[in-house]
Amino acid sequence: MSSGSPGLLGFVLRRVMFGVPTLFIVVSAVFMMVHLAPGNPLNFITGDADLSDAQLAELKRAYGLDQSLGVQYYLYVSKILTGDFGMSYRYQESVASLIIDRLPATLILMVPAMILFISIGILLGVLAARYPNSRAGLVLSGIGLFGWSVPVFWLGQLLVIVFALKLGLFPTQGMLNLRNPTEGWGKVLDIALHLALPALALGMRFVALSMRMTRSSMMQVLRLDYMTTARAKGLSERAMLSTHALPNALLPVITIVGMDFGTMLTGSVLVEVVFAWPGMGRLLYDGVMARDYPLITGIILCATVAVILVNLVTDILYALIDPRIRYS
Amino acid sequence: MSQFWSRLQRSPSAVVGLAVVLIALSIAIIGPLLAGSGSEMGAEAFCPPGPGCIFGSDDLGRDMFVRMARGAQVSLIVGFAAAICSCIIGILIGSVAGYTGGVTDELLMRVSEGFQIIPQFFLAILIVALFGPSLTKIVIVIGILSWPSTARIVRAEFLRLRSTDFVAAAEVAGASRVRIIFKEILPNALPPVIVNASLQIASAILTEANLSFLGLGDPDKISWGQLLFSAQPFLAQAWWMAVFPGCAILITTLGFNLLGDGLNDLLDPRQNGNRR
Repeated sequence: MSSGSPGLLGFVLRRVMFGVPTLFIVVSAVFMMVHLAPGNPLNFITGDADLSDAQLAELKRAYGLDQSLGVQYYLYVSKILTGDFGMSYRYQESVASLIIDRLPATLILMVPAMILFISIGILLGVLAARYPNSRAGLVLSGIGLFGWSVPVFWLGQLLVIVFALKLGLFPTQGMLNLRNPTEGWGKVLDIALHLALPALALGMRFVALSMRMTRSSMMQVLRLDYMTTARAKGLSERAMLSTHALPNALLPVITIVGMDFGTMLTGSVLVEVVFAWPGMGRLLYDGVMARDYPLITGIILCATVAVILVNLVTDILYALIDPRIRYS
Repeated sequence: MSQFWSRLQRSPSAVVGLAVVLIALSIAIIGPLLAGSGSEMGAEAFCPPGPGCIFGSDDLGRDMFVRMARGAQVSLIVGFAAAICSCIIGILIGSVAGYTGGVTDELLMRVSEGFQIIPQFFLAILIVALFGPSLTKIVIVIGILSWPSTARIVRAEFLRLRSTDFVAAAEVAGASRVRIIFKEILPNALPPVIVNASLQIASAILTEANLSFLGLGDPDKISWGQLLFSAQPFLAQAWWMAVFPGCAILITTLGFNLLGDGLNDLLDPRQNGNRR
C-alpha cells in the first residue's frame, strides 16, 4: 500500500479537481436557467397580488433583484456555499431546513432497499453466469429485462392496487400510521410495513442492474486463464466462484452501481410520489406542483451534489481496490 | 439485406424485439385512425373494462382505448425524436473527438464525462418546470442530456477505424477531412450507434413517462405517462386506468431493449462464443 500511495493521492486529487468544476458549472447553469426562464422572478413571489410600485421596489431590494446580474450571481453562489438555498414560497421556511427535515425519510427508503436488492441482484447474477444456457438463466434474463424496462412508478401503482387495495396486506401510503401512533419496536414494525411496497418498487431496478453487471463481468472473468488454472488444480466449482471469480467480477459492479446513483435517486422521487412517502422526492413534487422555484432549485442542487459526490467516492473506492486504475 | 435477415434469425431476442417494435409503431400510426377522430366521450365515468369499452373509461367517462391509441403516437414520437437528437449531437462530438485526437479529444471527453455525472432527470425537471412543458422542449431536453453515451461509442469506433488501410487510402487520394469523417469512417461506425439508439428510444420513452408522472408532460399532447399521472388519484376506484397504459409502456420499452440487446449480440461475436 505504502508504495502505491503517491499514485492513489494523485488519482484522488485529479478526481476532485474534476468534480469541483463540474459542480461549479451545474450551479452556474441553474442560476442562468432561473434567469432566462420566462417571467419576472417577482411574479413568482407576488402571484396575482396587486402591489404598488414602491412595494415592488421594496421586494426587489429585499430579494437582491435590483443588483446587476454579476452581483446577483456572486450573491447566489456565495449563499449556496454556505448552504443557504433561499426561502420556499409555499412553506415560507428556509429550503435548507425543509430538505434536512425530509432527508431521513428518503434515506430510510433508499438505503435498506439498495443494500437488500443489490445483494439479491449480485446473487442472481452469479447464478445466471453459472448456468447461462439453462431455463433458470432465461428466467433470470427475463427478470433483468423487466426490471430494466418497467416504469418504476407504475410498478409502485401495481403494487398498491394488488397488495394494498385488493389484498389489504400493506398500507397504501405514508411512512407511519398516524391514527394509532406506536413507540419503540411497534414503530419500527409500522415503518417496515409501510416501507415494504415502495422499497420493492424501487428495488426491481437495483436487482436488474446489479444482476446484469454481475452476470456479464462474471462471464468475462470465468473465461480468464487463472480460472482455467483454478479448475485444473481441482478446485470445486463453488470455491472457484466465491473465492476466485466473484471478488474480481464485483469491481465493475461497484462502479456501475455508483454511476447509476442518479437514476436511483430519480426512482426514489417517483416512488415517493406514488406512496406519499414524506421524503425529498415528495417535497420536490410539491414544489413542482406549486411552481415553488427556490424549493425546486434547492432540491435539484442538493441531488446533483449528492450524485457527484457518490461518483467521486465510487471512483476513489475503485482505485483503492484495484491499483491498476490509478495509473491509467 | 437477405443476409441481414438470416443473421437476425440467429438472435431470438432481436426478432421478438423487432416484432414488438413494429407492432407498437403500427398501433401508433393506425391507432388514431382506428380510434376515430370523433369524441373520446361516450361511456359513463369509471366504466370497467368489458364489451363496448375494452380498456374501461376514466374519471370523465373517456374511453381508455381511444386515449391510449392517441398516447402511443406521443410516446413513440418522443422516443424516436429524442434518440435522433442525441444521436446527432453524439455523432458530431464523438467523430470530431475520435478523428482529431489530442487536446480536442481530451476536452470533449471531459465534457461528456461531466454530462454523464450530472443527474439527467433532475436537470430535466428543472428545465421543464422553468420553461414550461411542451413536447418539443421535452424532446430537446432528453436529447441534450443523453448524447454522451453515443459520443463515447462513436469516438471509440473512430479511434479504431482511423488507422485502417481504407482511411489511409482516402487520405492519400486527397479526400477532405469532412469527406473522410462522414463518407469513409462514419458508415462503418454506425452499427453500435444503432444498437445504442434502440436502447435510448426505450430510455427516452421512460424519461418522458417519468416527467409526465410529476405533472410535467405537455398538456396538449397526452402520452401514456400522462394517463398514469391522471390514474394516480383513482387507483382504488379504477385499476384499469393505471394497468393498461403502464402495460403499453412496459411492452414498448421491453421491445426496444430486446431489439438493442439482440442486435448487440449479433454485432459482438465475442459475447456469442459460449452461447453457441
